[in-house]
Amino acid sequence: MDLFKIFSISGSGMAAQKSRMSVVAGNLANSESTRTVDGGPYRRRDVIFQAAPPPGDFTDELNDIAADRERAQGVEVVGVKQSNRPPRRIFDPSHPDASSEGYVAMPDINPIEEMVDMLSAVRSYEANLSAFNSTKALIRKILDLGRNQ
Amino acid sequence: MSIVKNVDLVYRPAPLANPKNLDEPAKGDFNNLLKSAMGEVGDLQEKANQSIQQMVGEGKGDLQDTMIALEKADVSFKLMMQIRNKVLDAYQEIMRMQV
Amino acid sequence: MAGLRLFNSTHQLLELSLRGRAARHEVLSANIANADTPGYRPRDLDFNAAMRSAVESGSLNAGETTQRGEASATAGLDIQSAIYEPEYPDSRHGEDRLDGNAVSLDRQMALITENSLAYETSLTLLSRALAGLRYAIGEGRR
Repeated sequence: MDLFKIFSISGSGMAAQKSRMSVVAGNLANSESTRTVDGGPYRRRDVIFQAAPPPGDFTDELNDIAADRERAQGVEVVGVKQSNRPPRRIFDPSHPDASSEGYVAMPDINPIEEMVDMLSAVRSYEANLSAFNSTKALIRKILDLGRNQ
Repeated sequence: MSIVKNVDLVYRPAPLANPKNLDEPAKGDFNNLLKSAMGEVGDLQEKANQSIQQMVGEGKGDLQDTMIALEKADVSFKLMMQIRNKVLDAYQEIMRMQV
Repeated sequence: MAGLRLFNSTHQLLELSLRGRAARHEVLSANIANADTPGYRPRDLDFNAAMRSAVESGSLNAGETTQRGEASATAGLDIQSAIYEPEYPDSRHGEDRLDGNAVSLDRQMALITENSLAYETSLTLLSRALAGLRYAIGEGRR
């Protein structure tokens, strides 16, 4: 067991939560965007997490596979998914993107839902940070072995 | 003559150097003990060195194992030094002895 | 009389427990990292079972251990078979989230704190034991 490897696990968790936060921030910022490069209104985005062994030494990985050892898993963002929720239709004939009937297709983004998601991401990020710090404390402690006799 | 014989029966000091012992040292021989202890100290030093090389050189290995190996090597080396000092003291004591 | 016998089974036990605690720390950190991964089931390491099987497998024989026999003793901690998926009673009654993830962050944080303290305990005990040896070697000086 290598204590240093735990850093990459907690690190992967923090990185994943951070990209989740930036996606949520993007959702909030674009809650009124009626135009995108792909055409049509902005669609809510969501990150997809997947458990994955942290990147390590190739020979280590081979050894683990050969010994049928389960590797402790970090997390990685495998993609950002666009939601297929239909856009909200709002009647506003004066809007430049209004259809001929006067309806505007607005992104279906609920700010409360996004805020809850953001809070949950922050909480998970902090949990990973605590795990990271406790690993750091353990390493510092073992480095002091034999020094304070 | 008979008195000497009797004394011999009562008290027979162990021979300091048994010629048989020189050829094949018995178990528990101090010489042997010292040798194997030296070997162990050497082994521990070697183990500590290996784990340091693995950790710093190849970035593999375990920090706690390395620290513990270092500590063990340190403690056993100190013990060895202490034994050496004691043996040297004893030797010098004998050399100073007035015959 | 074989060798120094400077380190006894207590030292080995403490060394094994450090290994076990570090391994558990890794498993718990992985749970926290995957707190939002769909379908992830938290895992844990049964530290006591691992230590028990290491002791019972006879790799720690009091008084018989020498530095040469050490390699087999430290290899005696079977970490892989001690890892299991714990069954938490409250997650059976619909507390499970919709995404199939069963990690409870608070529980994992509590476990990791407990485990870190246990690690520090083992470490302090080992430190003290070694300091005792040093003290004896130094004939009580320092």
